[in-house]
Amino acid sequence: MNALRLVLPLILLMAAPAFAVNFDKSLPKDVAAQMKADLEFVATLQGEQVSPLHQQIFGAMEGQGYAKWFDSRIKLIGFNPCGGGNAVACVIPFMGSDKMWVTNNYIKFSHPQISRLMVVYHEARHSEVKNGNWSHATCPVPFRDESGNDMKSIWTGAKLAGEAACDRTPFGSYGSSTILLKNVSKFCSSCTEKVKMDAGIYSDDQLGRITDRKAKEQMLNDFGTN
Amino acid sequence: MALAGAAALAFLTFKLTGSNRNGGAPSSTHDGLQIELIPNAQPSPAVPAAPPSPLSLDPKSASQLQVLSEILASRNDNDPRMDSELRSLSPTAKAALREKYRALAPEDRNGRGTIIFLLGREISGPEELSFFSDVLNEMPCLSLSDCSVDARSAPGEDSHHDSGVEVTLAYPQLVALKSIENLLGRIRAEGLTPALRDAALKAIEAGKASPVPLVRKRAAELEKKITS
Repeated sequence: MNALRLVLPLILLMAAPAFAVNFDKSLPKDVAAQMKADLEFVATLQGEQVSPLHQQIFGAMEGQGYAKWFDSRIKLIGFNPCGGGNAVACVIPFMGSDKMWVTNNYIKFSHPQISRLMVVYHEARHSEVKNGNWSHATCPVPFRDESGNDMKSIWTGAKLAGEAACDRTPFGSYGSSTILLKNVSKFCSSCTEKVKMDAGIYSDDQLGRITDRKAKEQMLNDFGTN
Repeated sequence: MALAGAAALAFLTFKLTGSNRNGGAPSSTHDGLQIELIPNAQPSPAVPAAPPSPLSLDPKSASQLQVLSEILASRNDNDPRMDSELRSLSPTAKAALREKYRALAPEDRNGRGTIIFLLGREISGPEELSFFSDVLNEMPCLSLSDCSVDARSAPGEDSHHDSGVEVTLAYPQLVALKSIENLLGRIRAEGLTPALRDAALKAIEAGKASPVPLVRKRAAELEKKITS
């Protein structure tokens, strides 16, 4: 009995959720359940090393660290269509920068798990009022890929040139989530091969939204791929 | 001033009432927000189609198919069984996985991509790559809610939310290309048969001819990488 009194608090502590964020009751139960499960996965991330930019933004690859990073920015997760369309999640500053809104697309669309988390951490970065919510940069005009083709919105078909859908720094929402995923792909020791592959596929794609040459070079050097 | 302010916040602020794309589709309110319901949507991609009858599979293959169904239903790509149990696939298991791929709703991008991933890390013969060529030649999935419907939104849709969508729409094909890249790495390291290498290169050619622009782009990049 004395042993149980000693061990029980430890067991309860270990069983406590890693993330402290609250889920608003407006959030459909299945969406909330999926998001909680995904955040629990983040809390398990482990890796022996990280790149310098990852260290600067997130610290070590350590689940509790990622949880604290998120909890220090987002206090409440609620339900909002975020303007409809493809949106999975959003931050709406005039409704409170410390709130994240999630849509039904979180479970309706068949995104790989790491891709859902990429969006969550991307949006969490937008909560940083002291950094101007890491507003997106206007994509350059013209905005072309390496083959000289116009970069277009997959959704509207419209050119991204001139749209607020790019970043000029490694530290914005696109940059930071790219750095997170690239590090997962390279260094995660607690991830399945699929998660690591997915992290690589999505981070390579996100890099296309970093439009400043120096920022992109800095990130490629950081990843050891330059 | 008001317009400038609205523009500045455009990337983060959103309409609170959704548009009704389906002209008469029912909607519901939730805390005062209009939420659009999409009738005739495909069944939830989280519910996998029934796998082939376990009676036709040996016990190990049947168990592997069951594990895969459980993982897909849970949406937990980090389930350790992905690596511990879904390996050493027999020819029967591979055939069953290909059948399951075809049975999954096309909107189940992650489900289909997961199967390609599992098959891709176990390619042992050139004949297996013809399936990958078929996947690379598939018609585009036009939207995540319904692959057959090009449900483009109204102008002004926040294009910063597009990020990642194009990848998910092409996910099975991109995984196929990644698998081929890894296979070619193994061929170089282990000196596998020229027939396997030739079949891999042929599959890349299929990717370069894909009707999906992103797939064509990635296939061309892969070809450049392996020939440089």
